[in-house]
Formats: sequence, structure tokens, C-alpha cells
Amino acid sequence: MTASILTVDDSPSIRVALKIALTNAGYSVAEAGNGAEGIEKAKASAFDLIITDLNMPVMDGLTMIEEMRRMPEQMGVPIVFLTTESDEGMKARAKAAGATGWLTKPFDPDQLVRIARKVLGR
Amino acid sequence: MSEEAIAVFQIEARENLELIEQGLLDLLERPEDRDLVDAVFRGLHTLKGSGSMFGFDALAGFTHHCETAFDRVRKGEVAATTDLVSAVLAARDHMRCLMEDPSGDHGAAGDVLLADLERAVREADGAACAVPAVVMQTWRIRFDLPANAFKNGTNPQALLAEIRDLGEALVIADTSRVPPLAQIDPTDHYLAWDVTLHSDQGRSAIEDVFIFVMDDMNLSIEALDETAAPETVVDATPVLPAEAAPVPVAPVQPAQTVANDPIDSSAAKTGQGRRERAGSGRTPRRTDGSRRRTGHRPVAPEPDRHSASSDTALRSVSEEIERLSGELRDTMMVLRMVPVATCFPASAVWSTIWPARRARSSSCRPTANAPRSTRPSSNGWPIHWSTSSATRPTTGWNRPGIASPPASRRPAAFACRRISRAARWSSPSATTAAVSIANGFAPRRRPRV
Repeated sequence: MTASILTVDDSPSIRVALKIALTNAGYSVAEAGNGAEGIEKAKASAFDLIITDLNMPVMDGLTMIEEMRRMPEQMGVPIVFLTTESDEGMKARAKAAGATGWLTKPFDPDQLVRIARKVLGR
Repeated sequence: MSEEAIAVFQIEARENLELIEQGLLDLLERPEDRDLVDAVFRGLHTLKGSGSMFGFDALAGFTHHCETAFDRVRKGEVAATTDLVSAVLAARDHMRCLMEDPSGDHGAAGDVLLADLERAVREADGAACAVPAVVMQTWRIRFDLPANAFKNGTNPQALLAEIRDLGEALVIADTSRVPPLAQIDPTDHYLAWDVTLHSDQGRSAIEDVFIFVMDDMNLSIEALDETAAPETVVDATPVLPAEAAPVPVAPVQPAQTVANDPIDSSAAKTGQGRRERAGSGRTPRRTDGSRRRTGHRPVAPEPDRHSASSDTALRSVSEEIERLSGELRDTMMVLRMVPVATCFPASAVWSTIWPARRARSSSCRPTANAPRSTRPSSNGWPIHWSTSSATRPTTGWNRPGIASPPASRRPAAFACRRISRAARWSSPSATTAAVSIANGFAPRRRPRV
């Protein structure tokens, strides 16, 4: 069965790039433009993996992760955040908030798919 | 891909190519500068990745070779010689052509540049260009995960699968930290793992498996004898704390069998349990007769629950659940029964069904002067139906193209015989289920009153 992935990023081009790479790898992809929208989408349907940016308007990725981990139905859903190499402090905060892993920018499609397979186990 | 997205990519790629060029020019002056090497590698890596993402496959493919060459420089395998840097500089100009004119024919020029690059790498590498021999190494890996691993989306099965991808792995679950049932928080993680891995991969590859949880977990990676195969180290004392109670492992168990066992050991199976699954080929045990009563295949094989735990309280709960589920199943079977004898006397049932059977039987007979169908039947039974539409109903067994079974094997006739027999067995007050009989279930035989 195809794994479904929710990508949360305020940049449409990043969302498009994520969608192309993940769709080519056989995943089903849904998109959200910020953390609040991501939570709404996650409430509406179940996802196997959530990939989120951290700096976003309306609700940032960190708050979204914290909110999701408080929702019983989102407990255990892998959440991978996008970060830069210099963001070590933010990485630690996101891990403490309940993130599963991270993907360092810039990344190529192979890295993205490899990380998705790693956390999904398929 | 929209034109707007491609335009954004091209702007980004031009900036990237300029950075690569600047880095390469600086490297000609300072070939030992590791930061410059890293910066050039990152630029090539990004260009390759984004090119592939935006459909510039020729650019991505060509850049991949340069990236690979520079990866060797980055790892210190080859030096950043003038020839090598010059070859990448020339390749950088070709990358720009591939980016600006992706549909052009640049194949021949690219091949020449790649040949130059390959020669430069070979010269920089010298004798070290030979393919290094694969060295197999045995590793003892012990790890446990933080208690909140499940909550945060970490899947131990995925980690174990990644380890198995590295080589032959013998995985043993340490269940000593699993508390009694009443104290278990189902969202917490209590298991630890002891893995013997025989692989040609190094320590960094093993550490990469745990990259997301390494800061929060206990991980020990120990190199064992390089020549030892996993089978020979199974007998070795596991790397476990003295107070831990590792699950015993049989010394004769071949590691390959365990490594390829699709049933993961992460469900706290014992080593013994895994051996049974992998080696003995045992079939699921079903002693409660539920399959016979229900006529359905059991949903899942009954697990060997009792061997997994010596906890008598857990065993008692398990048996109670089993007993209750058996009663529930029996109750459901009773609910499926529709009393017939109480609604209709047995003779009435028979008199209702018998004419219908006779009518159907007579309508099934071919007419004397109607030709028989010669079409092949789809189910193997001979076609007895007349081709005359006047005598052929359009539903049921005699639909066009569907062959009729012998009358004695048709469901209605079958049910009639069963009902008839049930009526003989039953007293007027006994309940007999027409629905269940029609479904093929034998009514419980009752003694005559």
C-alpha cells in the first residue's frame, strides 16, 4: 500500500520539489502551507509521514510538532523537519518537541527519499 | 514543471556555478584548504540534486561524475592536483551549457571532458586507484531506545531492517526490562537489542542507522574478530549487563536463517520462538475446533503465547480471554440460527419447498425438440439447458453461458435434503436453521424425545 506523506512548507516551490521527488518514489503526497493548515490536514486524514519546514507564518513547524504530539492520533507518526547545517540549536528544540528526524538543506531527491524510507521502514 | 520554477532553478544554478568556479580557482592556489574542497563539493552536490529535481537530467548525470571525483578529494583519497581542478573547471563550463541549453547535443563534448577528469583522478590517485579489497568484519551492536521512541515516531523494526541491510545479522531481543502487564505503558519502549552483524560496512555506516536517535539512546558498537563468521560468535557471551537476562540462543542456529526471517524479532519474541518459526516449519495450532464449527478460516494463526512469557498472571488472563472469545463465537453462531420449526411445521416447510424443486427440475429438462446448446460451459459442467428461450428462464443456473450443475448438486436441492433430514431429527420444538443449513452447516443433532 502506498504510504501517504504530508509536506508542510510556506514556499510553494519547495512543496512542488518535495511533491515531485516523493511522487516519483511512489508515495502519495498532500501539501499544507503552514503549521495550522498542517494540523487541519492531519486531523482530516491519516498520514504515514509528515515533512515540515520550521520557519513558517501563522504557525511555525516547532509549534506544529508540539501540537501534533499532544494529539493521540498523531502519536507515533514520524515527523521529519527541514533544517540547515547551522541550525543545531533549532534541531535540538525540534527533537525535544517530538520530531523523529531531520533533513538538512540543501538536499537532493535521493536524500529525501532515503530519509523517507528510513523513517517509514519501507 | 512550470516555466517559473525552471527560471528560479536556472538563477540558482548560475549562482551555484559561480561559487564552484570561484572555489576551484582558489583551490589552485590553496589545494590543501579543506573548507574550499567542502564548498566545491557542496556546490556540485546541490547542482546535481536540484538539476535532477527540475528535469535537467543531462546536467545531473554529468555533474554526478564531478561530484564523485570531488568526494574522493574530500575524503582525502586523492589530492586536489592542478590537473584535477582544471578538469573540473572545464567541466563546470560544460555544466553551464547543459543548464542553459538542456535540449542541445552535448554528448560528445561531455565524454571528452569526463575522460580528462578520469585521467586526472587516476594520476592524482596513483596506485591507490585500485579497488580496495572488501574486508568483512563482525560487529557486536547493543542498543536500547529512549522510552518515548514510539511516541516520537521511531520504529525499531525499521532500525533492525536497516541493520540487516548492512549484512548478515543475528538479532536478539532483551526483554528483561519489560515490566509486568499491569505496569506497562503501551506507548513506552522497554526492549533492548543485541545484534551480531557480519558486514563489509564500517562503523560509520552502523552509526548512520541510529543517526536520529543517537543522542538519546545507549549504543555500543564493538568490533569482534574480523575473520569470525556470525555463526561462530553466537555462543559468545552477549554484551549485556550482568543483571540483564538475555534470551537464550541455540548455538546451532544458522545466522542466515535468522537474518532473512521476515518475521521481525522486535515484537519481543524469544530466540526460541524465532527458531521454531524459521526452522521447524510448524503449522498454526488450532485446538478449540472453531474452524470446524464456523466453517471459516481462522483470522490469524494462534501465536505461541505461552512460550513468550513465564508470567502466570499473564497466562491466566490470556486463557480467560481465549475462553470468553470462544463463548462469544458460539453465541454468534446461535444468533445466526433462524428457528424454522417453530414458525412452520416441518411438513409445511417440505411442502413449500418440494413443489418449487419439482418445478425447477422440470424446467431444467431439455425439451424434446429443442436443440441442445453446444457452447462450452464455463464451469466444467455440461450444459443441459435448452436453447429455446421459451423454456429457458434468464436467471439462476440457466443464465446464458453458465452451465448447470447436476440437479443433486444445486444449492436449493442440497438445502432441501438437509432440511428434510433436519426435520426428521427435530422435534416440533427444536430449532432448525434454514439459513444455516443452506449455508452448509449441519444442525446439532438432538435425540428424539
